[in-house]
Amino acid sequence: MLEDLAADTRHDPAHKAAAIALGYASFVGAPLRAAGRTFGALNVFTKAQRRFTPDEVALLSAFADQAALAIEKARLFAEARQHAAEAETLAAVNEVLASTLDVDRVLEGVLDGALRIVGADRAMVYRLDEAGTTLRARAVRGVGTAPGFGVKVDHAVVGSAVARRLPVAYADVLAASLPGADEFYAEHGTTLAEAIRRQEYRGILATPLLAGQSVHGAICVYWTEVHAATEQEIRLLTALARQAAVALDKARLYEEAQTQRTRLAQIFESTSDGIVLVGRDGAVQATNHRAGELLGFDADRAVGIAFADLIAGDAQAFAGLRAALTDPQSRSEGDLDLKPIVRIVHWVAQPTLDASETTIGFTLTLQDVTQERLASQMKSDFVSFVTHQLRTPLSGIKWMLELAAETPERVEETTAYVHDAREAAERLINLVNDLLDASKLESGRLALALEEVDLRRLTREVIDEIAPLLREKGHRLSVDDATCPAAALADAQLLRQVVLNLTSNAVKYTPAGGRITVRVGARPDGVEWAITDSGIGIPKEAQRKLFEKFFRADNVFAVETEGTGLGLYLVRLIVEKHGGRVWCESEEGRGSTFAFALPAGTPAGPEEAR
Amino acid sequence: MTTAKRVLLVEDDRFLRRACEASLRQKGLDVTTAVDGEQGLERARVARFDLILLDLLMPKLSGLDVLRALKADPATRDMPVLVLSNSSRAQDVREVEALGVVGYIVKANMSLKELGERIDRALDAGTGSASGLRP
Repeated sequence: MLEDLAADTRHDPAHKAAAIALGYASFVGAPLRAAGRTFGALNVFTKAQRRFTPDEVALLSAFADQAALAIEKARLFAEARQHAAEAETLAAVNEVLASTLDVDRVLEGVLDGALRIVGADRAMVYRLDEAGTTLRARAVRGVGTAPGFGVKVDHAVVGSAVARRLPVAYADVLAASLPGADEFYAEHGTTLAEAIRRQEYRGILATPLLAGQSVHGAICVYWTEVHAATEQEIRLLTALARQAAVALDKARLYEEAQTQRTRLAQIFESTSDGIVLVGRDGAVQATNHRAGELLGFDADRAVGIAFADLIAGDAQAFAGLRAALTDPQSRSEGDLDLKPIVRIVHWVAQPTLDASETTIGFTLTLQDVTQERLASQMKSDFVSFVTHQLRTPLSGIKWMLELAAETPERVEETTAYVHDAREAAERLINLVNDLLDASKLESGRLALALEEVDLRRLTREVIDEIAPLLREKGHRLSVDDATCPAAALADAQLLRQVVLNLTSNAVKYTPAGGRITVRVGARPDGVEWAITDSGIGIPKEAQRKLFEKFFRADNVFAVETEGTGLGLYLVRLIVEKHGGRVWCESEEGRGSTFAFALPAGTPAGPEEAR
Repeated sequence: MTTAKRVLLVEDDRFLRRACEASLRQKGLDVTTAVDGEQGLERARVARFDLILLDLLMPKLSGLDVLRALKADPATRDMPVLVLSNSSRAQDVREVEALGVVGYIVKANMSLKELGERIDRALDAGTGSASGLRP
């Protein structure tokens, strides 16, 4: 309280001068106090100089106390309202972030939220790279563009926020001295000032993205004007950053899981093996389409169905697999012989374990082994057949000699037996030789001794050789070789074998008194040799198989002849080795034509053409 | 006077057929031959035999098919069959034995003498003599 303002020396002289200038002479004041804190004063001035009574002073004090209370209440109310508004904004942003697992949409939400809650001109999200050394601009919203380069951790504002794990703000980056900034911008051939001008901002606030103990990056907001970030802005952006880090982490995990899932699904579908996962209850949990193909079920509809029902079709074929299903604890395997579809499937059933090593079902892998099993069967069939073919002349020799030895006194009979034994031995030798030739040709070990061969002369030589047989059967044989080129490039000995085989076949399989024609001629691309007989012909269905190993048409036995079953097979191997082809045209009962063509010039592969 | 036992020899290999036939005739058996499965089945259907000697790997109709046909027909079902084959494929042996034969002989592993003994035993086990053509 002051009776005379002019005489006061305790108060601020400027205030005193102002009060006197307004014509005030006396003054009384009371502090504004609430919750033990003085935050102002209630002053009363009078123009007339006067003394204030104790009642007046007490009244003023009481009034000041009440006013202080009202003011404090209003302040608290405003503060609460502001907090509520902030919480509401954050909740709205969080709702957006929580609604998606898509990283890009999360980023959009973060940028939107950042601009909205702090009212900045530009927002940017940086992500820390795998190594944790460089921050890269991941998304930007607002004025300017994202810089194309990475920011090293502890460089620039954003780097220092990440390094310190604390918000960092500058009211004016042009006036600030940023750690490592000069060096950083120099590296990129510019200066901080230039970079800032280009991006048109002055005020900056950066907050690290913290999820648990790890930093994932930072959110940065910018103002185009100088702007000192308020405590409230920092608080809000920090809260947003916390939400953003969690949302981004979730989205990243989801994305990773999705990628893994897609990758596994692709592997699952692309493998050539069939795979079925069966649960403890026996129901299919997952299957690829290959498994459906192999076992004959619809893979798209198999999930949830009891596996035993899927394979219910062929009880006998599935018996082994069914037994394995009853004991999923142990590994088992076997073959499924699916006769109706001619397929052999090898299966392996293995228990499926979870992370705690508990059996949660089993995994069935299926492999089509039809070709392997067939090849192995063919191999063993071939061995059986060859054994049979070798044993037959051998037992013939053995029995003929046994008979000859029993009756040495009956010379005529004995001679006949010995003759038969020799003939059987001859057959055996031919068979062994043919087998060896076939084996050499099949394996490619036989090298062709190529030379100029006069096919016309070769044919005539072969005909001379079988002349006795021709006479015996009374065939008429003519050769038409007017257009034959002088020579073909071939292995003379092998080509001779081809011509001899085809010619003697024609002679053998044509009933006595038949007509046989040999034609040797040029083709645009080489030479062609053909023999036509008036023999028994070859049934249609047999024609395709004629050149196969050990094939013999059934009607061949209508006339009694014996071959090794390898003749035409060898003819094909030899002709093909020369790069040519062999074929047959025939009508049963009306005769056949066997022909081969050899290409002009160098035949076969380079390894033979030495 | 005892009638000679009737034997049908179905064999496509002419050397084996000739040798076997000669040996069986020397033993005093009444031998009929067939050069393939088809002929063999035909002959078995028109006459009763005390024993059929059957090769397996033959043209037109395999020995296995002949055997199946014989066993499927009540008229021929009871004729004993001794398989003479140079095949020792396990599958052939299994299938033949499942159809019911008196034996499976690999020719190369047997002399004519041993074969004769096997045939004698098979004939002795059979019930009496066949009576030629069926009524």
